[in-house]
Order: sequence, then C-alpha cells, then structure tokens
Amino acid sequence: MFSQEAEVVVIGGGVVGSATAYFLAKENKNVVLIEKGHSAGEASGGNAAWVWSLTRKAGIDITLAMHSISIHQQLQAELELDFEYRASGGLMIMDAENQVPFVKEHLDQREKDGHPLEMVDAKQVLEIEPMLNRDRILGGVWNPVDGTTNPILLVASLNREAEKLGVQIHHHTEVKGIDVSQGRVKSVTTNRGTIKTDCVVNAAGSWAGHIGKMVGITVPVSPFQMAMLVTERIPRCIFHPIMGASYMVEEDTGKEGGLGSGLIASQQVSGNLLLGACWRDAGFDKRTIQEEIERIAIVNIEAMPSLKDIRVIRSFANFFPHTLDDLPILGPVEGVEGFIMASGHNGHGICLGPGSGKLVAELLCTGNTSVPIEELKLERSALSVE
Amino acid sequence: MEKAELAIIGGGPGGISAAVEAAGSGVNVTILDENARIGGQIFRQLEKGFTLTNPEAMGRDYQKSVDLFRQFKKVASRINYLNHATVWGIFDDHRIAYGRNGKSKTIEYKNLVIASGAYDRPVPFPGWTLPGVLTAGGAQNLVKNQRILPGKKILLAGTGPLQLVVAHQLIQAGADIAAILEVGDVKGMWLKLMQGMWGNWGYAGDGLRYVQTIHKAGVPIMQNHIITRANGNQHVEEAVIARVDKDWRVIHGTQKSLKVDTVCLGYGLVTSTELTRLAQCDHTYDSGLGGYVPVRSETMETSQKGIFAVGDGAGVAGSQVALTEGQIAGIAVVQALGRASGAEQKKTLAGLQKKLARHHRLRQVLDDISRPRPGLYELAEDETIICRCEDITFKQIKPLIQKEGIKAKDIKRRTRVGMGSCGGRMCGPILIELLRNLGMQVSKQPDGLNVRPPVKPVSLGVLAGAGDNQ
Ligand SMILES: Cc1cc2nc3c(=O)[nH]c(=O)nc-3n(C[C@H](O)[C@H](O)[C@H](O)COP(=O)(O)OP(=O)(O)OC[C@H]3O[C@@H](n4cnc5c(N)ncnc54)[C@H](O)[C@@H]3O)c2cc1C
Ligand SMILES: Cc1cc2nc3c(=O)[nH]c(=O)nc-3n(C[C@H](O)[C@H](O)[C@H](O)COP(=O)(O)OP(=O)(O)OC[C@H]3O[C@@H](n4cnc5c(N)ncnc54)[C@H](O)[C@@H]3O)c2cc1C
Repeated sequence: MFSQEAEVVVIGGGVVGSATAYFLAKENKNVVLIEKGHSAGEASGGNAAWVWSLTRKAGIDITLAMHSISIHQQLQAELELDFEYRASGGLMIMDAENQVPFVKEHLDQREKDGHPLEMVDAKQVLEIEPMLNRDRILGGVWNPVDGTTNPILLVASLNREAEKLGVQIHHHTEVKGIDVSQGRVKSVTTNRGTIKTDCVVNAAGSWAGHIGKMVGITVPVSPFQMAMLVTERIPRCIFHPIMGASYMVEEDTGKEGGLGSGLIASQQVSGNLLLGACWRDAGFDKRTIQEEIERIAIVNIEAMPSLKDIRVIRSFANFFPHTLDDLPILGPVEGVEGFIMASGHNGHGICLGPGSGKLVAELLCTGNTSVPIEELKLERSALSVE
Repeated sequence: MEKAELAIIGGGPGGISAAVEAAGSGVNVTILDENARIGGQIFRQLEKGFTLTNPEAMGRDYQKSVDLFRQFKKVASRINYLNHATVWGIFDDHRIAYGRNGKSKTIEYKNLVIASGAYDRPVPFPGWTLPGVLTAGGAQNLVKNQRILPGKKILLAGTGPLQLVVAHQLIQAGADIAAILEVGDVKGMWLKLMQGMWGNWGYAGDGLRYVQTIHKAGVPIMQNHIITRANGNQHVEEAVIARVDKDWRVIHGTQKSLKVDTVCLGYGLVTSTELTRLAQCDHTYDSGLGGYVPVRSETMETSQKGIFAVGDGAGVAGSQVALTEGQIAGIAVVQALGRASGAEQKKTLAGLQKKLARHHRLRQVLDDISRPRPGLYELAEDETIICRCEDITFKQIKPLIQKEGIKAKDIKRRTRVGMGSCGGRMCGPILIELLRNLGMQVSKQPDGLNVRPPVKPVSLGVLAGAGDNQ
C-alpha cells in the first residue's frame, strides 16, 4: 500500500534522511521516507566510514561534529542491530615541514574553542601505527574520540527501528514534484503516487538542488567526487584511521576542476584496507579514472612502504553533497513554509548525519534545537557564489 | 605512452585470429595476455612439452588452432605480444592500463578487440566449497598439465561435452570414475549431440572416441541426474545424487549416495565480461551464451565505436566460433583503418558470417541440452556459501532476494556479496540466476554488479609504479 498522507515526508534514505526519520518517529510523528534507489545506496553506502572530528574547524563545524559523535554513542546504546561503531581514536600525520604551521594554528584555534587536540611526536606516532614510514614522519595529532563505523549497517539499523515505530519506507520511489500553494507545502508527488503533507525534509544529498527546484528555490549543493581503493583482506596492520596533514594545507586542491589527493587509510573489520583518496569535480560520474587509482597507490606507498605487495581488488568513487563553506545546510527556508533543508554534509556526513537528523527532529517537534543552527541556514552569505 | 593501431586483450583463438587477420593487412597490433604462453584456454589444455613446431602432438581437435599459430608466426613481426600483461582497466580517451614486470603501463589504442574468454560456471549446492570439489576445467588442468590425478574415486557432474573430454582424459590417466552425471536430457539425441557439440568443440570423430573410452572403462553415464550435496569432514567422502525432471528439479525419493573422494563439476562456461562492462558496452542477458554478453554488430563491434568483442567472452560458443569471430573483427579493423581494397574483404566477410551462422545452428543443439534450468539454482540450503570471498551464506541473502523490487545492487550493498577479491566473478552469475529463479526481471545492463578497476587484483606497488623491475 502506498502512503496517502503523512505529517512529515523525508526525501532521501541516506544517513541524514534515515536518522531524521528515526528521531521524528521516536517523537511519535507520522513519517514517510522516500528513496529513489535503496537506503544507503548513494554517498552513505560508499565512503570511508570514518566518524572523524580531528580536522573540523573551531566554531560551528566542531560543535556539530562533537554533538553528532554523542548521538553516534547514543544510537550504539539504543539501536538493536550493531553497526560496528568503534571510537578507536584517530591519527593525523605530518610528513612535510610546510604542514607544521597549519597544524599548529589548527590546534591553537581548537584549544581556544574548548575542543583541544593532542600533538604527538614521531616516536609516539610510530607507537600508535608501527607500519608508517619512519623516514618521513615529523609528528602527528592524536584524537581519542574519533573512530569508524559501518554506515550501511548504521542506515539499516536506523531504518529497521524506524519501521518498528511506524515509519513507512518506500524504496525505488522517486520524488517528482512538490506542490506548494500560498507559500506552503501541500503534497509530495512520486512516481508511485502523491502523499498529502505539510512538511518535507530535503535530505536528498547531492540531489538537494533538484528537490529545491521543485519548490522554486536554488540550493547551492553540488556533487563532488572522491575516489578510494579497497585491498584484499589482510591481518590487522592499521589500527586507527590515519589522515595525512596535507589536508590542512591543500584542502582546496582539486575543487576547481583539478585532481586533488591526500592520504587516508583505515582497515575494515573484515580485514580489507580502505585507502584514499583523490577528489575532483566529476558531476554525477561514479567512475574512477586511471590517474586517481595510481595517485592513491603512490600516496599510500609513500606513507606505508610495506604495503607494496598488497593487492588492490577494487577502486570506487562516489560523490558527496558539496557546499562552498564546507558546512551543511540545515533548517527552514524563507518563503516556503514546511520545507526543511538537511543536506550539504560534504565529506563528513557519516560523522554529522545522526546529529543533523536529531536536530531536524527537534526543530520540527519543539521549534528549537539543542545546537543553534541559525548559522547553517540556506540564506547565509557564505553560500553565494560571489 | 605506447600506441597501437589495434590492441587486443586475450591471446586465445579469438584474439590471435583477429591479430593474424589485421597484421596480415599491415596493421600494427599489440596483444596483451596475462599468461606466460600464447594461446588462451585451448593452449592451457595442451600436453606439456608441446611447442609450435610439432602441432601433430595436439590431436585433431586442436588442428585448427595450430594452423592459426602457424599463420601467427608468419606475421609475428608486426605483432607485439605482451605476455604476463594483466589488463586492469579500460578508460576514456582510448586508454588501457596494464601491469607487467612490476609496473603499471598505458597503451593508447585506435581500435580494441576484447577476447577475454570464459570460465567454469559456478553452481552452489551443499558442500560445493569442500576440498575435493573442483571444476572440470581445473581437473583437466591437473591431469594434462601437471599429470596429477585429482582423486582416487571421482564423480563427474554437469552437462555438455567438456565432461566427456575430461572423463576421457581422466580414464587415460588411470583414474577411477564412479559415474558421469548428465543433468540434461540427452535421450535419443546422442547423434545430434555429437554433431552439434563437436561441430564447435572439435570433431565428431573425437566425440565418439571419447564415448567409447568411457563405455569400455565401464563408467555409467547417468542422464537426467544431478549432484545435490557433497558430504565429508574436511574433504569429500560422499556425494548425494538424484534424478531430475525436465527443469532440472530434483525428483524426491530418487536420492542415493555414492562413495567418492572427488567431484568434478562441469556445468558449462560463463562469459568474462568485466572488460566490456568496464568499457561501458551495452549488454544483454542470455543464459545459453553464458550470462551477460555484449551487444554486437555483424562485424563484432560493440555499442562503443572501435571496441570489438569476440570469442567465448562475448558468448560461449567454442573455439571455432572464436576463430571465425576474431577473423571478422580483424577484417573490420582493417577496413576501419582504411587498409583494405573493399570488394575482396566484403566477400570474405560474407563467407565468414555464413560459417558463423552454421556454427550457431549447431550450438543450438548444445543449448537445448545444456542451457541452465531453474532446478540448478535451487540446490543451495541455508548454510550453503554463495560468496566464497566474503563467506556469505544463502541464509544471509535469502530474505533480501525475496523482497519485492530488490536489485542485485541492493543485495550487494547489504551483504557485501560480490565485493570480494574475485570482483563478483563467482557470486555474480549465481546471484543473477537466483534472482531469475524468483521471476525477477534481469536488467539488460549488468549494472547491478558494477565493475570497477582494477578488474583483476593488482598490487599497490605495481599501481604506484614502485615495484621492483622483476
Ligand atoms: C568516497 C567518500 C568517502 C567519504 N568518507 C567519509 C567519512 O569517512 N566520514 C564521513 O563522515 N563522511 C564521509 N563521506 C561523506 C558522506 O558519505 C556524505 O556526506 C553522506 O553520506 C551524505 O549523506 P546524505 O544522507 O546527505 O546523502 P546520500 O547518502 O547521498 O543520500 C541521499 C539520498 O537521497 C536520495 N534521493 C535523491 N533524490 C531523490 C528523489 N528525487 N527522490 C527520492 N530519493 C532521492 C538518493 O538516492 C540518496 O540515497 C565520504 C564521501 C565519499 C564520496
Ligand atoms: C576450462 C575450459 C576447458 C575447455 N576445454 C576445451 C576442450 O577440451 N576442447 C575444446 O575444443 N575446447 C575447450 N574449451 C573451450 C575453448 O577453450 C574456448 O572455446 C576457446 O579457448 C575460446 O577462445 P577465446 O579466444 O574466446 O578465449 P580464451 O582461449 O579463453 O582466451 C582468453 C584469454 O584472455 C586472457 N585474459 C582475460 N582477461 C584478461 C585480462 N584482464 N588481462 C590479460 N589477459 C586476460 C585469458 O587469460 C585468456 O588467456 C574449454 C574452455 C574452458 C574455459
């Protein structure tokens, strides 16, 4: 039976939409979740699976991340299906002098903001991750709250619990239009029927702009590609997520059409290594290119030469919902009552998704949020192209 | 970057005949094959010690391939044959990436022929992953190349001609075969079958000789029989077999057990399509041709201009078809490069296409018997492994495949089936057949189980170009 009516229609079965639907249902809202493919079939299913806050900047950026990490912990305690969330701690490594001032500045800012990080020396780095190339390491940053999860299981777990609470989830169902009259949302039309509602949550990830168009607004979210390699299963040799500090220096490389790259490495519960990454503007293309694959191999071999003979079994690329200021767009939109944004989670939506879902649910149920989200509104100046 | 007017992936009969044809007309050809020796699957079946100078040692069924290798030698100066070259990706801008001697290299091609061959069809049933269960191709490799008997008491189970070849070879090598199970219905079709299959796989005479060896050895050929389970602790000790109906479904009450220590499975072949899929060629599904096959024009060109597909990788039809298709593609490439006079080539093409049509008519007979029926994919039980790389059992995927509207892609995301080191070569065909059994519409494109480079495992060192030079 296809749903006729709902208090809230959530568009998008990624981590953001799935968390939103779950938290709304916990507050007894009557919710329908619409997903054009399958849950976690897009960015939330193919990513590095890190729950990572080390590189989040002072201010709203780290506030959101820390809030969401507390929600990951809450979910781990309350959801039935285990989703392999492990706060193992995370490591950033420095291997070039030019990185040091950027990293120091970051640590300063975080300290001032009340979210300090720990600097570690080369010896400590190698104690934490013995496989790293001792000839290159200058030092690092250690953050005990970071870790990894299994986003596919996280979404499955959120969906399962939401369904128990009465949420109707329609897979392989695409939102085609949203009826707005006199500035208010009236209904959502899909390829399988129309649902009457006065509230829609746009959690369509990289497609958030398409949904925005349906109500006549511009949502400045665009797909941005990130590529990674998966190796064969090997005995445990990487114990924590490892990121290269080049990210602190060259964060913007590639975002204007070129090809950016930097070290990220972790090992899955199954034993496969997940190695990255390259990024580039490739629209909605999920194919990986030769340069990406070779570049990722080079970056990882430099950092961990002993991986030389480990075989790569697959590459993959996915796109994440990118915004100009690297922050999500959350909350109501001027001029369209009942239209709520929950997109633009960039390269950290797995970390942020549960928190965003919680905040949107609070907003819809109480009118307030436990973390102020005014700064994240669609109308903020940092999102305009100028 | 190296350049090639024609790059060919696969050095089996399909690839070689395309190369001979094109090089014969002055085209510069590069062939890439992952093996040490030229010749593809056929050559791998040869006796040890064979060299190109004594083709008679091969027996008549290889004669045609041998003729081809002779021709190959004549035009070899225009062919750059790269052995130990594992193609790991095909990319835009006419580029192929391959690993060789510890390095990753790139070739830019004008035309590409993909002749990647086929492999044994995987069929899951309780016990199929036990040591002692092997494929017919694997068994053949053991006896012919390594002169090792796969076991003491052997059961052959499957369908089609390869079983008879393997049985013949095993008997010659002194093996004790308990029985040969032919799951298909061959009744009254022996003669047709001989003509049909051996028309493509060799010569009818050889087929008869094989059947005679089998009869003389007193090995029963049990038609309409299937293996339903292999039992044993650590290793096969017993096989349970049963009679099947025309849909290959087990007829209850007909089960019996055979004491054997080895089971060879030969349910035909499935196409290797990872390269044509990576090149984004259109495909269609045809279980008789071995699963997904690229859509091709009369000249073997895929939906991607300048990319041709020939041989078993484009539809399992045997080495004679591979030879003919390779030749056609070779001529088409010569024409595309403007190296041909036109009229004469046209005539040759017409002749070859006629020959192909005849082969395909013969192949139909094989199809009638050996095209997989639903019962073949109903043997798995809850604990039966479906994906060997990721250790995923039937129980884990069963609730998903029964969900309405589910796609192979969804199952992959949820269970990791197909995400192991074989890249879905083993579990992919199984999953598709399981879904088909449930009446699922199989999508035209194999989009459910996307291939992503590297299509074959390649070490990080090779990809980084940092490997040693050896
Ligand atoms: C390679 C890679 C690695 C990453 N690594 C990490 C990491 O380690 N840690 C981290 O925190 N983040 C990471 N990210 C980012 C993270 O994956 C994303 O930010 C996050 O998944 C976004 O979630 P989402 O729910 O907004 O979007 P999605 O998961 O893309 O969900 C949006 C959903 O909306 C659906 N949809 C769209 N349009 C419609 C419509 N019209 N009708 C119905 N449904 C529709 C889509 O099908 C999709 O399923 C990574 C991203 C990539 C690409
Ligand atoms: C197990 C088995 C047993 C057989 N037994 C017989 C028999 O006894 N008698 C008979 O007449 N016929 C037999 N056949 C059939 C016959 O071998 C084939 O019909 C014939 O070889 C098809 O030729 P081809 O050129 O299409 O493919 P193949 O001969 O299979 O050649 C394909 C080549 O491409 C290579 N390749 C594939 N992918 C890549 C890559 N990414 N990079 C580099 N190289 C790659 C493969 O390694 C292989 O060498 C058998 C086939 C198989 C699979």
